[in-house]
Amino acid sequence: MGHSPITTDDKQNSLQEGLDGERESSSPEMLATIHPAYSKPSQIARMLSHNPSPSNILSLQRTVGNRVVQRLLHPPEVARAEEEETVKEGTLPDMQLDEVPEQLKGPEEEHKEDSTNPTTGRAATAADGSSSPGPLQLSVGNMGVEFNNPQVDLKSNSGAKDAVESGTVGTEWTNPGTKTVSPFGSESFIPGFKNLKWKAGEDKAKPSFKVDFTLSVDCPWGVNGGGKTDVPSATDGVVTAEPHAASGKKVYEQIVADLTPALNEKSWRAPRQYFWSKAICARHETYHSTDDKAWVETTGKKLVTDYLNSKTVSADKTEDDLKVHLTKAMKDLGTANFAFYTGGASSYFSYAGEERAFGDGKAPYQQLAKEVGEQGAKLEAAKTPAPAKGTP
Amino acid sequence: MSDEQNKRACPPHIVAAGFPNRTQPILQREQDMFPLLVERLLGLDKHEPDGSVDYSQSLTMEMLEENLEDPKNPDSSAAFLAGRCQPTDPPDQTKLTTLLRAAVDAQESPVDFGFVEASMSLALRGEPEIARRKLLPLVRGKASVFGETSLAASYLAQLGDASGYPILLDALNNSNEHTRLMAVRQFLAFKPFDGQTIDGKTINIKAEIAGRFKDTEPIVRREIPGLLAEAGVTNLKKLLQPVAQHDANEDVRAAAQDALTRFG
Repeated sequence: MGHSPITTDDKQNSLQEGLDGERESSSPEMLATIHPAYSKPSQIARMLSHNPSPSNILSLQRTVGNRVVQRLLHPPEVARAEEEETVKEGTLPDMQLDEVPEQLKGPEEEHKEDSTNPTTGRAATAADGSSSPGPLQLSVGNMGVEFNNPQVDLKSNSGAKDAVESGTVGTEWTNPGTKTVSPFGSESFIPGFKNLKWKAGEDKAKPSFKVDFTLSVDCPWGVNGGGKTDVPSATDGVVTAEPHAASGKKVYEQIVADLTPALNEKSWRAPRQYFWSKAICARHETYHSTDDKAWVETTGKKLVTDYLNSKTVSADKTEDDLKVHLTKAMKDLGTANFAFYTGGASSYFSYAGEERAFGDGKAPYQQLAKEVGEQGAKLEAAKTPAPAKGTP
Repeated sequence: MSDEQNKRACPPHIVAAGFPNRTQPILQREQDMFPLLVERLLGLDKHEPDGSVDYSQSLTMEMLEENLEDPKNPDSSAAFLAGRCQPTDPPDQTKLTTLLRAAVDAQESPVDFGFVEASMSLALRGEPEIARRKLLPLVRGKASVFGETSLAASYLAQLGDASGYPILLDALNNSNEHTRLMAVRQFLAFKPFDGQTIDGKTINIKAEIAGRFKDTEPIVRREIPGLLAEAGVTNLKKLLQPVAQHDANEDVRAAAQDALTRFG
């Protein structure tokens, strides 16, 4: 069974300025996730091999770090060969929820569920040559949380990132431009793991298996007016005192009607029949993403930690077992987030997440509708000619 | 005829299926969940419905087959829906049962939502003994963090077996608020067993649900008013008024007030 990619302490590759010999993954997969300019791992490796110009190297050093760059320029082949004989620690490629089917293929051999509270266990077989390994209690070591909430709509490809606790990851660029966004918008929760490193404990009397990782969550969102007219502000040219062709009301009156929120079940919703506010809809979807951010930093993080800490891995299939546990944690974290979103309610306008998000947009809608009404009154006044002096 | 028109529909078919413990509130929950889970299969995530599509009528056999084709990794939404819809053609009905049976047989790690859902759906499609046999081991250990064991306890109760009650109580003592929340949502299924004793524990769903008003986390307390109303408990006003007035969390107070307004 392979154990690639695996890294070890490698002094040979720690000669550069600022290097201290600390283990670090150099897998191209990891680089792709952390370098902002390249969406595929091969692009980074290709760039360095074909054009290792100082500017390119400097760019990567600033983003993924000097040690990683040195690893790509000087692959640690000698060290890797030695690792095959003494595997006690390693790394795994990044994982993301939309890759679940492939991840779940996992080991070729049949996987059996481990016991949740093992009382016996032995040190890693591959490390000490034991022939009948027992389970190793899994424990979460360092765990960071990374959060991305890129906007995805037909007019914007830009992403926004909010690194919360970022031990090893500098920046990230996400651009899932294929997401379909129906009116008036949507938001997704896509969990994943990055910077996965595992290490088997060396105390044979107390076998252990520690995993460090960053819990990475992408929350892409988008808005779509569905053909409605955007009202950027009360003073925008769209606000007029002319008749609205479809409704027969004055345009500003129709806008006020469309943007005035009314309570629907538990949510304050603006009807938006002809007009919408792109900015407030974007605020709504962004609210969902920050709602998810707060959840994953508290409940979500605890869920993953508690789950993994209740698991074991077999000493002879550490990576495969770990992959199974991580895949399940990732999948179930998405399900748990959905339970948080619905709050056990039975319909959309009663979902806890919608109640919060529509509640957040209530005051901005009311304010915009009020200002449009005031602007309409001004426009009406301007249309009415002032009576001439002396006119009775 | 377009590809869409050629697809084989699997419309909702949410029934007690001969199990009296699948009470009306349970069936109502499933009716509410049905379109939501279809949307999840369609990858729609959190989005505002515009009312133009009735997603409860959008489920197709193709969607179910695609999401259940790997028996070791059945999608939990598809596994749920496969027991709550009924295709018109008998061969498709047989196909669904076959897919579910394969998923149930293939699982060696039963603590999995897809497996639990597939087991219950198999019961609803006429094979309850297999489902009981597969679900029982899940409620004999410790409560799982994500809530699979609580769901299994609920399904067993719907099939007439209350032996999962202790694992719900165990889950209520978990340090993780999500685990507690997933447990408290499942007490509804034990209402037909109220007053019975399982492993020395007397079933009292009103006391257990209302007891969660003392939960440290608002995310749990917030759902209690709705769960009490759903369970049809008596003296709702007496339970909810103090919460509506004094709970430390605004969302919890609002949830209690809302339940008072609608059900009190």
